[in-house]
Amino acid sequence: MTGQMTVWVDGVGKDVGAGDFAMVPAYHNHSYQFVGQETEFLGLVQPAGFDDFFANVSTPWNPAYNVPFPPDQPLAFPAAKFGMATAAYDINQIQSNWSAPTGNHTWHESNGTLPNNANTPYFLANGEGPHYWHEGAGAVVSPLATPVQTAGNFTIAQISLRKTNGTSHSTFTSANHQFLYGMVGEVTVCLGGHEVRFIAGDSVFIPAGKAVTISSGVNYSKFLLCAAGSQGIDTQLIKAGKAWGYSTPPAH
Amino acid sequence: MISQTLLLAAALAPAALAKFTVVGDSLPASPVPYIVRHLDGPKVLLADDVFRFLTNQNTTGTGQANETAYGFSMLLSNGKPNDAVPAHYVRSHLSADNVPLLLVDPSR
Repeated sequence: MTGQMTVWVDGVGKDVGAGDFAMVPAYHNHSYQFVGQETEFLGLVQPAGFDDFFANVSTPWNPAYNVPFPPDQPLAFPAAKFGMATAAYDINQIQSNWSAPTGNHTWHESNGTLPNNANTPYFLANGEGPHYWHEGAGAVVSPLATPVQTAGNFTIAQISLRKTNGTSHSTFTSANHQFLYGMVGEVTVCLGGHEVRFIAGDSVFIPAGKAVTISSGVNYSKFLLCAAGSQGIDTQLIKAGKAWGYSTPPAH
Repeated sequence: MISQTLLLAAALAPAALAKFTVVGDSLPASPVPYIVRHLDGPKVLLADDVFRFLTNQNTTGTGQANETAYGFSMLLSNGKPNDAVPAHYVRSHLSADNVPLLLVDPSR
């Protein structure tokens, strides 16, 4: 989301910045390190429940002010607690020699092709990868992980919206739970005649089976959509759309 | 005047949010529509990371190898550069097919 970090997968590190994406299937060693100030990333873990691991190795935090980070409250890494929890959550901790990121000068320039299987780790640079344009929704869908890369278990896509003319919006219903995270602009979600508007940093949960319309309240908006299956709005938009060369909508 | 005020109040009432639960310190216990405003929601502190829990709506999900259903969790971490991190280098043993697996780490 912001800042700079290094992500290692199977011993190979890469510099990852805002908009970049890393996919780590199960059974692949991985770790990360913040290397820039004000670094923030969003991590989706599937199957559900792994958040309990983090809850078990940490302390509840209820600050008086919800600032992003408590620079005045340093904590030691809870090695003992972490060690106990790893066994309970099927994590194999490996001590390794950390290598400096390699290929940093080239990986952002890759063509961003998604692998055709669910076992290959991969990185996508900001704006890279396939894109699909759906004119009715005024949306460009940039899939970061499709059912092919996740064995149908979940999907992640960046969706860029232009403001549509008029009040008519496409309606979508998904058999999967879905989660939206605001990145740019202001997005309106309408459900059963009631609407909620979300901006950067806000997140919206849409349960399975709920019909919604999604539109941009300003000229341009962007958000992440995550679906807990292969029938999310992103997948529907891709099927109904056409291949597009850019991660942003056309101007005409 | 009163009626006009009431009408205005009704028009501005949070009806627009009635279908969406606005999350405070904890996430809803069931899969209802909800919104978590920026930096709201449950949070934990882990060394130099702050994790915000944004969703875990598959209540049958445990993250264990004997996982019986799929879902997704989202964590959002904030931090600063720290030479001590990473202290962990993990290999997930989560089963992709709900079957508990015994793995032999090739690096050992």
